[in-house]
Amino acid sequence: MVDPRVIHSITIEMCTGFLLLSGIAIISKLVADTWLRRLRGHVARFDRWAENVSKFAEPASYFALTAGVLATFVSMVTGSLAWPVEDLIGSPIVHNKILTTAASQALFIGAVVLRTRYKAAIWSTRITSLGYSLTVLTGVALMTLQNSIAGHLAGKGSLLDDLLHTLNIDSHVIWVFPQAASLILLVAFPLAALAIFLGIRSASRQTEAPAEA
Amino acid sequence: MTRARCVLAFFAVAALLAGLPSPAAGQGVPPIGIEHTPPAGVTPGYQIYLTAILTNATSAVVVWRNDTMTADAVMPMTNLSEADGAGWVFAAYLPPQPTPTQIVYAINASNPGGSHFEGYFFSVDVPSSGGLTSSDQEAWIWTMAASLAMVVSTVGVLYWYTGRRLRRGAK
Repeated sequence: MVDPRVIHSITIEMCTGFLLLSGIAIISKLVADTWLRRLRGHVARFDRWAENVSKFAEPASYFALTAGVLATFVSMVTGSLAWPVEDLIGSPIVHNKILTTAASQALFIGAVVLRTRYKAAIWSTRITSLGYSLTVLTGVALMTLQNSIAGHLAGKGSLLDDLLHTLNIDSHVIWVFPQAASLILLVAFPLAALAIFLGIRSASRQTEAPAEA
Repeated sequence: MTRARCVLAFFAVAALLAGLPSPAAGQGVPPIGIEHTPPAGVTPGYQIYLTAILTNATSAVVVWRNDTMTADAVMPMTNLSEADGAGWVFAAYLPPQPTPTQIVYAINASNPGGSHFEGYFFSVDVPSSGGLTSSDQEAWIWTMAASLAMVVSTVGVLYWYTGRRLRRGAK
């Protein structure tokens, strides 16, 4: 019988690798598109490179993102099997890891939904491509933090320790908002989203009405 | 009881030796300094990472043993070439402990003028649910819900806005 921790390590490598590839592909696509929009014609060789990168990075990022999200679900299952329930309930580090994993996974799922719904057209305007890219890259940043926490969980430390120490972030202490702040955020964000949605819809109707008239 | 005596005897000897002047002290060589905090929350089955900031030391070893070992083991420390204050960060891994135990160890730092060591100990144990209070757990659940609400709301707004922006761009 293979140790569940070994299986968990493999699934972590898979999801981290895929999601990191997705982040790198997104950055490559952003750089290539910026070159093509602003600097095309300056260096012919770079133009060709940018066109090729832009063409291949987009599907690569989408594939890696989808595979990474699926692998993360598998990793969650193997992780819950690899650690005793007492550890999961009692360790602040495990709680911090679950919190950051849930947030990053929600961002990645959101990015998959965005890309699946709007397809490659999401890259056709600067603002939508930027929104999509920021969603994925924020997820990658949270995933990096979560892997740093996992390093402590495995007793190996992390390359980010110095940075976290400088920022006064201690992964051995449970990360929680004050309860009142959690309640405010829990109500305020969905309400703000609803208000923005209604604002967007009302603005759309106003712009569509004169066009129809 | 025997274990407690051993630990006490170890620290008594360590304290005695620590109090003795180092051979380097009288020869103009700056004294060796050891700054170290034993690790906390070490669980069975995982390597144990020890770091220490050593001042005026050229090399160091960790001399350690657990409850069941009959002799000390020696693990060399590596200089990470990372300055911290007046010293340098040294690190070593101790092997994973298969079961809960207590590790008693000393960091022995040396330079051409002599050596200096300080003793420490820590426990290797499975964390218990007693580590977190019920109010911690409750606050964590609220934090999780708030975080997810923030992410889902933000992505939702982005989804609506992207749709609108692309439709407008298509017209």
